[in-house]
Amino acid sequence: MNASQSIKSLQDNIAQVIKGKSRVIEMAIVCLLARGHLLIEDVPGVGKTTLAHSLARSLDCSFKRIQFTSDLLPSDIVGISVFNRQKQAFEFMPGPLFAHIVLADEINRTTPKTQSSLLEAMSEAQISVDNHTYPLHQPFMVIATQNPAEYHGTFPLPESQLDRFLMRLRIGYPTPAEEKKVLDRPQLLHPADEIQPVLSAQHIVDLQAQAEKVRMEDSLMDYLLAIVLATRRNELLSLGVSTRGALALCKAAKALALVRDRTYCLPEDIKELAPTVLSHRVMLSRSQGMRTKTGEHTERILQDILDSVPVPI
Amino acid sequence: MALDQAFRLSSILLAATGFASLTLAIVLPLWLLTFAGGAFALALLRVNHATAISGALQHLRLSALTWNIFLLLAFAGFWIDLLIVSQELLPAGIHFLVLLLVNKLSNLDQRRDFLHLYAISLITLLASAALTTQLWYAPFFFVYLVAGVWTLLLYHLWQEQEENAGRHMTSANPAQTRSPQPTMTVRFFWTTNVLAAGAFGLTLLFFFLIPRIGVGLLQNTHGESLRTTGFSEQVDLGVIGPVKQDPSIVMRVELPDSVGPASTRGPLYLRGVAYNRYNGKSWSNSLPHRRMLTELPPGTFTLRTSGAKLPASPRGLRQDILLEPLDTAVLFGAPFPSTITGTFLSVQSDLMGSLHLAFPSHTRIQYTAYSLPTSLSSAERTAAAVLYPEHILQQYLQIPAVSSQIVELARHVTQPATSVFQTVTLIQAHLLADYRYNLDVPSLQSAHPLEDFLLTRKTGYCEHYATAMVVLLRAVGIPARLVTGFLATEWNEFGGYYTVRQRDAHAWVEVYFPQSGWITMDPTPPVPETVGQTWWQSMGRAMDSVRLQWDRLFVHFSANDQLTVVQGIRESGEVVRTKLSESLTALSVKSSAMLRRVLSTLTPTGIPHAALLFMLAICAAYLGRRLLRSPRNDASQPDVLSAHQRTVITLYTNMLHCLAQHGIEKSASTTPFELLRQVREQWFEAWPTADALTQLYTHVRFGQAPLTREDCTIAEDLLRRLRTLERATPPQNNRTL
Repeated sequence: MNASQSIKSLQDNIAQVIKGKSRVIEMAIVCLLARGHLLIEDVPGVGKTTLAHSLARSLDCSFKRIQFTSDLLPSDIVGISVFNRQKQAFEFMPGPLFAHIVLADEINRTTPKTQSSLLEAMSEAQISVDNHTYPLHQPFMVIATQNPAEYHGTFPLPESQLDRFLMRLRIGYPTPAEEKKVLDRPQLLHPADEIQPVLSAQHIVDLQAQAEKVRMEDSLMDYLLAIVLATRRNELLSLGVSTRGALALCKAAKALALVRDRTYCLPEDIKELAPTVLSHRVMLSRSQGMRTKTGEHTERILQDILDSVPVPI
Repeated sequence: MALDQAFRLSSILLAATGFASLTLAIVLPLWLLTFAGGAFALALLRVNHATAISGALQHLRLSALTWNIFLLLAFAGFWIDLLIVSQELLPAGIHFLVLLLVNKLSNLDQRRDFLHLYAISLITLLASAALTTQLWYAPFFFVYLVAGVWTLLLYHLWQEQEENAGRHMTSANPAQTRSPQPTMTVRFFWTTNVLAAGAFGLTLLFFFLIPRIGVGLLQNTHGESLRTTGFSEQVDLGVIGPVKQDPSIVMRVELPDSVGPASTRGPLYLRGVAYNRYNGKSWSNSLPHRRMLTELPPGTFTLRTSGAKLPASPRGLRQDILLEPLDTAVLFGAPFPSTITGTFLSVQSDLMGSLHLAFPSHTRIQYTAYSLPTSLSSAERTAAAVLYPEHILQQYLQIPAVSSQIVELARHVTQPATSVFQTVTLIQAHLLADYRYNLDVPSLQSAHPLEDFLLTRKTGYCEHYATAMVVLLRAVGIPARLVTGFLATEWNEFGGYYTVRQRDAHAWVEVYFPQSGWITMDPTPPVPETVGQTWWQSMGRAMDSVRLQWDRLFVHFSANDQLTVVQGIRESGEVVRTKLSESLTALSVKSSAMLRRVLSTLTPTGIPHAALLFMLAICAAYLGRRLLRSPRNDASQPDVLSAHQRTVITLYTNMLHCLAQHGIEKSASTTPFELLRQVREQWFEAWPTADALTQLYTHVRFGQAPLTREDCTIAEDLLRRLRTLERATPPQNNRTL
């Protein structure tokens, strides 16, 4: 099975559960192939958890879900060392982060302390407890969700942590026809439990390596950097895209090229991904209102920027 | 005429003018002429894009590799030409230049190629300028200038248009998108010509006026002459002292005939004025009569001794002297200047051999002095007594009323002498040994400066020493006189000349011997080293030499200097050529010997050697391949577009033009497939064609896939189909607007 076939089967498999959201599925797969983490920001009940669940189920990977609450402690997610009486030694009990796909539900509900304990895991794919460093599974992907409608008693994610998510997605409500398909399904089992794994973890690691080899022509690199530079110079934005953001866009564009069965990037890859990959990495100027409320507004500004940066010919 | 066409035409005209001037200046071989002529004709044919011929020519193009091989061959040919055929740098270089020109003419694609063409044409023009002084060069030069101005203007317009083309076809606002195709009108043509002619005239005006104005104005406004001392009618004892600290430059002296390393250059005496009468406080000249030097041929002034014939050419030590404006009219030269060449009205000489101009010069003057040195004959070196002519005794034995102690001193010092010359040396030795050189002498205060120096103070400087020696000599009956001038010690190793400063002002003694003439003697002890060896001092000397060259080459540039420069280049080229051919001969001798040795080892006993040789050859071949490949690797580096990419971009731009004509404009930020979607919505019939072209474009442009010949043909077919389609369907501007 070659790369395009595996990716196609993965897409089809998830599409059995998530109806009519092919773009969201594609983005999730791009995120997975680019070794990134996904932040899904939408109202409850549109399928955030189901998306994460079905992705994990399709992959023959371990899947853990953490419900973030305000009293959750770092050790609750990372793991804890427990004294073993028989061995007369401390023994590490791995937490839920030791899984391939981790769903961090309502991540903004927990305290910054716990949020930041996710940090090392997300960026380095390893965990340090009691002077020991434990590598996490490969592939490792955190899918975090947060609810933009409700802000009471939340801790908005700090800028440094937002930057560690490759992309921020919004799912949106399905169209009535698609919604009808969802209702029409037998409700005996959770739909995500019905699907069968199509790819192994090793497959995904191979695909990730393949995505890295996708060629990005020099002029496209310039195009990407021109976009990044434009965000830094835009007066509506008080904080532009960092170098990590540029790197993320580059990785994501390569992964998207692979998903679309190409060995090279196109300008559209970059242009299409830029709002999704960059919108949570910029900050609006004071005059543009509160950042947390204006995800769509940010994406609109980014779209304007994209319309002003010339595409290489 | 379209801009692109006009630009290419004027570029070719520029190159053709340079080439034509070259053909008139040097006889080129026939094959080269036909070759270059063919290249020009092809280039002209290519200018017109529309004709069928140019289409055919597009296919006639040779690949870049062929041209590179051609250039390598041409370069090898250049060396063969230089060393064997024409054996001279200039013709061989010109042949090579013409081949370069042919190469560039045949490959006019990018901006860079045009710039190279201009550089080559400029070199051809310069080369022909170096080869000829005929008047026909002037019209060619003028045409070149006009064509140059056209080309420069058109080049910038063209460049701007190329840049705009990209921006325009993609501009977001459809109202502005029609980029106006600039055309070359008659008015543009004449305006450019007037501009060129005006620039030419103005340049000529500046060329002739500015340097002269500068020389005139600058030297009149702050052309204050240097104030010198010691060269007037009467010189008080002690006047030189104050200027001994003054570092301002008086003159620079080159000795073009003398050879030898700089370190061996001793001090050079530059004689100014001689004095014979001393009144106890000051020196004066009692023989003020002057006579004119004979000027024959014009500009050469020779001091004629009565009855002697003029020598055919000036004899003696040659000194090229650049004299700063001074307040004295004296001309300096090593003893004894006999001939002066320079642009003077007249040169005068007094009876003691000092040379004067009619009046001091306010500008820097350059002249050449030829000097005949005197030396003491061996007979007179040992003669116990000599017989002096009457007029010498009259003029050069005068002593003021000095105290008897001085006469006593002279007698005492010269007592052991057995010959006249020994008397002189004894006095000199006494002064050198018993007196101390010191500039710190209160000048002009003493009523008897000489007595002060000789008997009480015993310190002084050159003037005191020289005066003392003259007076002592005269006291024992030997004719002598005082000479003032400069003692040049500062050798500028960068420019190869002596720098003479105010502080080098000096006074010394001339002693008369009836057969040998006036002999220069210097009783002053050598002054401590003035030529500094520290780096900043030598830096100062280098700066001075640069300043001198600047003055000579730019401010006072003349045809003579020009000729010298050209000759120098020619001579050094000759030297390089002979050295190269010598080393090549040596190399060929060596290599043939080696080959013989290698062949001798190839007998059965030498198989290991042969194997070794074989392996070496393989290594060399491998290395050569690596070296040949490396440029291709460079070309595939991301910032350089490959030929395939360039071709496909051209194809795609053509498609964009076609779409734009149909009213579908690509804005700068539209990606290829976004545009395709637009095409699908607005012009469905063209969509399959555009889709195929876009696929090919993205594949080659961003996927860096190779563009095969079939791809090219298919793409051209598609483009043609798109054009036909465009002509068939009416433009739908109203729909997009």
